[in-house]
Amino acid sequence: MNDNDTTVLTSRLHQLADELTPPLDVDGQVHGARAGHRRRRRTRVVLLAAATATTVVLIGVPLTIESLTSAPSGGVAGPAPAGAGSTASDSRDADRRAAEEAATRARDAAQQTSGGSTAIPDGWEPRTFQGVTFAVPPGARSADAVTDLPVSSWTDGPSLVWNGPHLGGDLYSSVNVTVTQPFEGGLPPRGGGRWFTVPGASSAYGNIETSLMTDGVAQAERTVVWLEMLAGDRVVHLDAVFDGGPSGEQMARDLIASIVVD
Amino acid sequence: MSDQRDDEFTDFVAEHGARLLRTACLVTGDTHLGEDLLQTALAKAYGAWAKVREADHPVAYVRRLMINAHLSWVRRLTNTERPYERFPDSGSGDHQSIHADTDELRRALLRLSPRVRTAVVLRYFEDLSEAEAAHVMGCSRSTVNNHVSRGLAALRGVLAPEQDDLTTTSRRHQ
Repeated sequence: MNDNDTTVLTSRLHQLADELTPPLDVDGQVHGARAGHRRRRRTRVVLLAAATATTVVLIGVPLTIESLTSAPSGGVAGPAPAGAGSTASDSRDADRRAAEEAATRARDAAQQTSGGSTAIPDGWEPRTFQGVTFAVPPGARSADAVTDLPVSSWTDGPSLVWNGPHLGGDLYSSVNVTVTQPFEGGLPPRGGGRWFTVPGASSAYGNIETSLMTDGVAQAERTVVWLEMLAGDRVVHLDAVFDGGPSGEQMARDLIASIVVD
Repeated sequence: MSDQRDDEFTDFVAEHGARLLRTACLVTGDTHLGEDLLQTALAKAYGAWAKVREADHPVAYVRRLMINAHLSWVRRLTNTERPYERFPDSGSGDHQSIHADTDELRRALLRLSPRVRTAVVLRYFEDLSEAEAAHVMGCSRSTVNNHVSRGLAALRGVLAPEQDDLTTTSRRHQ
């Protein structure tokens, strides 16, 4: 295209914008924006409270079990009475050891279910990118595409794209991992998801969704995964598309379970 | 404080909302989706108003929020990247299908992938430079260049008749 063509294009785009754009309802937009912001903030507070409560339960129960089962051999599990064969200092040491062992076991369990070699399904291939470890299914149609951008904002950063197999029409399976700065110190505001537990991430929000996609010929069901993880001073964004149905959903779950953020 | 924010925000929407809405309608190719997209971006802007008002170019900041939201929708609802720019001609499920026959450019734009369409709109409607468009879209300049090249190639056929008309008209005036 030459300059004349692009001038014509600009002119036609403005004509199209005139045709497509309705009059702006300023009051409606302002009211809607305010309501949308407050709705999202309420949702985040509720979800954060639920996640905190869940975390407390998940950490508290193993610690309680550990302290109960670490009674002397043959003894009845229960709170140790003060002065019953041990000093207060011994009791504190035992509690600390029990807590450390419980934490180690919890970490190992998380590694095994999330990123350890035993948790990766057969044939899946491990990937490590910018301190994020995850696994992808076999059958990549081409090498991973890596973009080495600096982490310069909450929208810009390096990315890795796994180019998965053909899903039909012009759709392909893919996994995209991008690392950015946090949005105002946290995850970008976003609704429609739920909180996940990802080893190494202080919070993780996303979802596994079934989406009707146009594959160039007809509409077909696909499994879409999106997950945003806060880890220190960065946010890891993960987007993936798999085939629809139970096998695709299982792949999505396996992908999420394989993620570990260093 | 909140009242002051509301007043400033309302002034901002009154001053710049119409322009942002035009861009939203073009990148989505749909009036209602465009309004929804602007609403989403404005909600985010309202939540981060302190940052928006302190930005060098508040409109550019909100436009970036809007494009980011648009591309996030695309990522979530379609593929991460579309290797080919092919959309079905049937227009089933497309809100604009009623008008598609009468608007060749809009149909051609809808056939482009959302990223390519966004790049074309930012370059030739918003008149942004390649670097500015790359900043807004969160990708490299070469990616924008690639998107724009593909978009222009796909649109060439649509623009050719108009260019012919213009040529004919200009010849007539000679």
